[in-house]
Amino acid sequence: MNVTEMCAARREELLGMWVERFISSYPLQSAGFMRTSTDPFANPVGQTTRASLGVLFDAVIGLDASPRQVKAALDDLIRLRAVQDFTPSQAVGPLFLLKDILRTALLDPDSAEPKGRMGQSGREELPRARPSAGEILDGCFEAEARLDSLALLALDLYAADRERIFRMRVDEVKRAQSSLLRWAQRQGLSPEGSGNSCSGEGNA
Amino acid sequence: MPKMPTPAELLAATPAFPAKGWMDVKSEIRPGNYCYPAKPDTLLGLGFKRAHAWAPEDQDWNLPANWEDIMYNALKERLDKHRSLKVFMDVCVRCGACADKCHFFLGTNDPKNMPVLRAELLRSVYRKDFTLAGRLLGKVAGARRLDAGIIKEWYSYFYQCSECRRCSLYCPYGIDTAELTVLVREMLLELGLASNWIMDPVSNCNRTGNHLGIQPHAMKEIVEFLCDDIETITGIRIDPPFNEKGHEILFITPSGDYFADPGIYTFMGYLMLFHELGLDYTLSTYASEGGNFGSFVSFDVAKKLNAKMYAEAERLGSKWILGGECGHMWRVVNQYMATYNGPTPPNLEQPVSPITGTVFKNAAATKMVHIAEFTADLIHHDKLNLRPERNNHIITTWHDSCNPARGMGLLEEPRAVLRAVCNNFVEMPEHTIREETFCCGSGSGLNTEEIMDIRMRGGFPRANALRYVADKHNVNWMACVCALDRAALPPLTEYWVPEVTVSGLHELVANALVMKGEIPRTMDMRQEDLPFPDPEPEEPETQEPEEIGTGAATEPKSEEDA
Repeated sequence: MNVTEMCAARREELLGMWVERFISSYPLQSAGFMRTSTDPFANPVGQTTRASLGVLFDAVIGLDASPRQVKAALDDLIRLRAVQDFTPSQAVGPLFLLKDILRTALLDPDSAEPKGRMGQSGREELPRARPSAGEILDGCFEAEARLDSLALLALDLYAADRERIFRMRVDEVKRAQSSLLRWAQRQGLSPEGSGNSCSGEGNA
Repeated sequence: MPKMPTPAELLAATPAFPAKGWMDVKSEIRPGNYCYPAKPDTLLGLGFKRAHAWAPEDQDWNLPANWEDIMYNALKERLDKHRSLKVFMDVCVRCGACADKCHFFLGTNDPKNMPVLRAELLRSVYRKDFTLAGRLLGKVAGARRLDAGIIKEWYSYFYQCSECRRCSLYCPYGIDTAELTVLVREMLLELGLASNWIMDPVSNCNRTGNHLGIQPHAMKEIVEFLCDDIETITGIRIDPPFNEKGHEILFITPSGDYFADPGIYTFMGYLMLFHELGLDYTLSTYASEGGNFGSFVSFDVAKKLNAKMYAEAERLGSKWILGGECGHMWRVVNQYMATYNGPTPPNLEQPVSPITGTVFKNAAATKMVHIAEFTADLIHHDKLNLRPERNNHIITTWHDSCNPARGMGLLEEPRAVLRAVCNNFVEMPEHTIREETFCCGSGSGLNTEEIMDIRMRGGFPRANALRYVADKHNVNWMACVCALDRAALPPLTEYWVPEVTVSGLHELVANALVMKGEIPRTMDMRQEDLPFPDPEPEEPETQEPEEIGTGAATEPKSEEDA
């Protein structure tokens, strides 16, 4: 058994801990609701977080992952957190907390993988040999390096999201008076209408 | 020497959401979570005597010296005037049914955005001043004394409610949070505190007639530009009447349709439809804003702005009023207009469609018909020549705008129209549409750019449902029947579901509408190439004689044009 398999075997537990770290970034009174409601439309923040982290978790522990899917999942997560009143570090920070979770799970000799799982054949599988400490350490470093790549990608996405917001703010102002700008241009006025104002305000 | 913290320590050290009770958590006013204040001149012009200069981020908001008395009296007066307010203050049992129904709570997960807690921001003050238990027991009874911090909290949180009333739908007592929000904003107005994005349009509508304060001559010229565009697209020249007396119908639409993209395309759709029907109507530059910006902040201001619709209908001698695609305009019309400004002027009659003869009994009181009802009736009676294939590149969904859906039950009519003009229609998931529709996140005057982040998270539940149908059914269009939606949804989709275009209903009607004497259509209303342009003319009933034979296939035709 290698590190990827060790983590995959405890996926629900470890992923749950990671999701929990994200949800703890929300207020106490709200976090309970986010944990319990599983309807993606009634609890969109909780469920988006959970679904995205599921994909990212598999990628970090070294399962095969399509880059497109991983990026989409990270995009969903970061797009959400980029507008949620967090500082940038709060928005992406909980990504890093998976490191602690994996280290504790893998390096703590007491937290071995669950024994005697039922295999797909229906027969009880024998616990497979635990990798050596060196192998675990190597696997851990690899997982952490993959997580670092995700964090870098998250930085790109976060910055792009913020830039999009500011561009939208400008576009909205233009859109709100599109036909007025066109009118002003035909009158030979600058869009600012500095000369001859057509608005009631200017004539007031 | 201190050591660099780990990420876990760093995140733990940043001020997390406090574990204290909500009453002990003071609201923070910082850029991005407040609307810019209205200019004192604007408010003074509207008769708000306590208008003053203030800046939300300042410690001192320059409130009048006796502001506590003003607030006490303001609340007392409203408790006497609105029995609903008194009931809403007393009846809530804090069951929490509303809590997770608010899109702002779902998007922000901030407990003060739960409708119950938002109402509690006012209710706690009410308890202190107006209930015995609150007076005697104070905090134990959920009461607190009003202070300047609470005023700031109100300005922040009551401007994070879009008055969509989704929570009211689920409240076992039917507590109308929208009404509470309006009343608190009204009380804040008494201290001279209001948002610029709302009060500027209020002032413009009050003074000039439309929300941008465009004067009649400019407004008429702008409509002429739109008619130029219609001519380019259809080959038909339309010259809509303005302020003319003696027409059967006065048409009033939100002024966003005249000036804002993409509302203008819907407006062009109205004009084309009316032209095709030969409707006897007039536009008005005075009653040129159907939407009622006053309804966001004050019942009195709403009444004043609403009055001009009947005043203009009376002056022009119209028989009834046809209203354009708008949201809150229709809640005001359905719920408040008769009380505000009824009875209707004597020249107004129960609306009857001149094309189908349908009597709009639902409009017996207000004499106002929503254009979705009007067009659905036309389609039902097969009075329109439609070619929905022109919209075949569109896979659309329908966004039920809060006010028409929840405020007047306009659910089936727009869908009937949409199905008739567009072959591909997909509903968003159950519990996110119809009466349970999610708000755009920018209603009730929150449609201002400085709180774009709040709007994005408030609109996330809507976008999340849209995203689902976009991923699953390749939906690339969202139609709606509200001018604020047409302004608010484009940034929302740009952020969350960029592949989706937002439009009004009658933009799609206009695409599909086959007009007598029109040229073969190669462009949609936005003058973008139609992927499925009209074939060589062959339906004899839609062609003028001289055009037969000249209408070549689309490509040669466009070459000729070039």
